[in-house]
Amino acid sequence: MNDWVALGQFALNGLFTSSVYALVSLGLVIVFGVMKIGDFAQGAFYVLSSYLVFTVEQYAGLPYGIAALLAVAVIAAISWANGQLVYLPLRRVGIGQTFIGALGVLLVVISVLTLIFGTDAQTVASPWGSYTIRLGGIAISAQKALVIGAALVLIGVTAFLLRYTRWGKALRALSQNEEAAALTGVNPAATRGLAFVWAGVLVGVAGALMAPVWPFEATSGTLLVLKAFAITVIGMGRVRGVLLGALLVGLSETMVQAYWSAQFSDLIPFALLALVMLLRPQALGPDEGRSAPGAHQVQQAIRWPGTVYLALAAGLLVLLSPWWAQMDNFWLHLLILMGLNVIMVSSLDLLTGYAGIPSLAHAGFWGIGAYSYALLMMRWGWPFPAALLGAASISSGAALVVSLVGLRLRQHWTSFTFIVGVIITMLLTDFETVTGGPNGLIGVPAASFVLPGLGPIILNPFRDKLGYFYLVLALVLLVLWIKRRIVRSHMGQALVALREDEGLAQAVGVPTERYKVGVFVISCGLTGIAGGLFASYLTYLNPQFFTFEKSFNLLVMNLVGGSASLLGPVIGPAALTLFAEWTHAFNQSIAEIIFGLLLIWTLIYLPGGLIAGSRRIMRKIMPLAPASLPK
Amino acid sequence: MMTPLLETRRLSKQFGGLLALDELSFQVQRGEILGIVGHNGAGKSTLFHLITGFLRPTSGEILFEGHPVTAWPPYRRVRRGLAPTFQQTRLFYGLTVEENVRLGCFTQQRGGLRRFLLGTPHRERLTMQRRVNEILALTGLERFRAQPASQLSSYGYQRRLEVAIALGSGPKLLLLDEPFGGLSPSGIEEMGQLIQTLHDAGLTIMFIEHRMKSIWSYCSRLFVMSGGRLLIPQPAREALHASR
Ligand SMILES: Nc1ncnc2c1ncn2[C@@H]1O[C@H](COP(=O)(O)OP(=O)(O)OP(=O)(O)O)[C@@H](O)[C@H]1O
Ligand SMILES: [Mg+2]
Repeated sequence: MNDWVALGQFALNGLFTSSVYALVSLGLVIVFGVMKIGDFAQGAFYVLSSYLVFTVEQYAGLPYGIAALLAVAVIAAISWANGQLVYLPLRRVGIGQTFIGALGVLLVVISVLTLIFGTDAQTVASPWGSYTIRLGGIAISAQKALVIGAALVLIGVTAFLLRYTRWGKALRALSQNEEAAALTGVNPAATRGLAFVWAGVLVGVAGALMAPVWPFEATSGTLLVLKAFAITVIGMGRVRGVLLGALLVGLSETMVQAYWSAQFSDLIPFALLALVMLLRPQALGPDEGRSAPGAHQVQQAIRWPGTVYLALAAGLLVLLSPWWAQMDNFWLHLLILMGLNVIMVSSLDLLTGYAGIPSLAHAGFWGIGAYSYALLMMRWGWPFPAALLGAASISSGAALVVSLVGLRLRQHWTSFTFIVGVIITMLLTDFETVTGGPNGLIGVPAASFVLPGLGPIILNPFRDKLGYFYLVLALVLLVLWIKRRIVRSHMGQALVALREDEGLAQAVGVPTERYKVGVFVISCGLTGIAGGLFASYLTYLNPQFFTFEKSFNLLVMNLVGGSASLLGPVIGPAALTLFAEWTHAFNQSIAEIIFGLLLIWTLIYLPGGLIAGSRRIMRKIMPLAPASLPK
Repeated sequence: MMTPLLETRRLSKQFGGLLALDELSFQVQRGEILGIVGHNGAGKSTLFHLITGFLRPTSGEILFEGHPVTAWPPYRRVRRGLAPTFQQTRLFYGLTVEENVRLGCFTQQRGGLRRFLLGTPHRERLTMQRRVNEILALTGLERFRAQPASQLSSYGYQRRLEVAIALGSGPKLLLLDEPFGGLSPSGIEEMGQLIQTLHDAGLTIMFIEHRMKSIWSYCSRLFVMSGGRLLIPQPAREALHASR
């Protein structure tokens, strides 16, 4: 094969990849037009479509073509139902919530699929066997050619629908300006419904056609939908832009793999996205809004007596120490995990709850803290306290850079943090020489320090759980105290103003940019401490601990517990860590499913989280002080 | 002559092909109530946004108390004594009336490590509370202090809360963008009285209105704006004719 033929072959492969990206991105862009969110659930619907083909073929014995048509119809229906049952109610709560809800659906469907089909990859036989089309020296399998063909046809049909049908016109009007569209007689409900259906068709076709191409498993659609989302943003939410973006990403991925290295090729869409965000931030379409997850009610009249309360809690915990000492290791282990989650969620709450700045990169910064700690200890032999502080500082430093870049964007902040989270995980995985790559780091040193009067203390995380428990407890209390102080301080006022109305905050004299960067840096620094602790406790690290799923779980813990409070982010992680442990005992997937459903339910029906619920009950039991009643 | 409180020099603002402000120069003296009237799209709000720093001028200069503030971000101007409000009422809707006013007082509070560690000293907190109470009393919002701002019954109260928030920073110059807009006749009356009271307390006030009939009696000087220019300064009655 000479060079030119090889190039042609790669280009064709790139075109094939681009076709898949184009189909999924086109679905996303249609939903984005009417909802202003990235419909991540489509990633699960994509792979669900493959599984449907597999099931129908396998168990009903129907031929591939019919199985594929059935799958597409079912996916269209599911996509529609998802829009009606999840997105539309969530949208009334806020765009940030809808975004999180979409991720929730993605994770739930993946877990359901894992529960049913297990984690082994499945395959579907191609109806054309191994028949290959040849053009000169270039070859392509019949199924791949079909994917390209179907993509071209569906792109044409979509363009036609958008341009010439009433639905298409309504859709375009709706994505321009909702209120104006409603005035011109567009029926938003029907238009949205059809948008979900058509997105389902596109994604369903992609999934059904791809089933015979590559073996698939429940998570196969996740990276795909992340890339497709990146492509929709690169394409600035416009159909033509998205097609160009898909082509650009597909071709460059293939070329990079072919001529350079497969290692970083998955980063390409995100790198391109970062480039677009930096170069043309204003062109990226409508503002996502910086609405925080969790509706914020008016500050409660029942105030938890802050510092006193913390001091009492600390005292109680010390009093209970003989009881802890008798606890078996399993419970201590659980308490330690809870403590770590409490630190992370409390710091996240400072950001999302108080300042109204959502972040889907929190686990990433946690990971930066963990890896920094490990490397500072292992490579440079720093003492434990210094390494812990170093971890916090490095997380903060990374956060400083990220927030300075993110601030320039203004719009798309949530997506930006999401992508930052994905990139952090990828970097942890890809920089093998530093981070140990996918295998992670083994033999991270445990905590050891000198306490005045007690001499040097070395904690063995396997034997001395009690010691670790106290260490974590002390840091939890420290972090809660810091959070309390921040909330009560001048900065706390600035953050609330920022959350409620950024423009008005400036009008009352808040230097909003400075506080946005400041709170992000502080929040990530605190979570970096949790990262260091986590690394020292576990003694090994793996990039898979720090994925966006974990960030997502942290948000869930925050929302379920209740945001913008001291106790909510304690109750949430405590309850959900227990819950997760309990359900993991019988099945990991069921745990994830319940977790996701719980999240969506909370988002819609209990916007203030458990803490608000309990306050409502408290208020019934304990009527408010007369002074605070409206007269 | 004393330096004027506010001065603009050949201030222009271009939006794409549209010249919203055309080399506008004027001065505001301490103790005035300056009304600006003009038809829709005359550039009144644009002028306010330039003064408060939410927009940057295409060319020209803004001086506050003789200092050039043209490149300052809004929050610095607020600290210096400029208090903006918006044409579309903006409140901290998720918070109570009292908390709104407290946030309005943001620049009056101090941060720093000592306060962070030990909390705000008791005396400072008392002073702050007194300040909040005074503003609530002044704007007649005392009885709503515990109510969420989003549940303030009338638009008139919302408008007044907006003024109350702006007063928190202890401004020298208060900018009100159509404070009478959308108010009932009695609401207009009350807002007029509030402006008068603030003026008597020594505040300089600039406000915008596009129907001037109802308000010209409240101001000591009136500018008419049209097509990004000022027709300055005219006795109120003539201005009234000019705007027709
Ligand atoms: N951000 C902007 N981008 C583009 N054009 C703008 C922008 N803001 C204002 N304009 C235009 O500048 C002109 C002046 O607008 P401005 O809001 O200052 O008018 P106004 O006198 O306050 O009118 P109104 O009485 O309706 O409030 C208008 O033609 C408006 O369309
Ligand atoms: Mg205006």
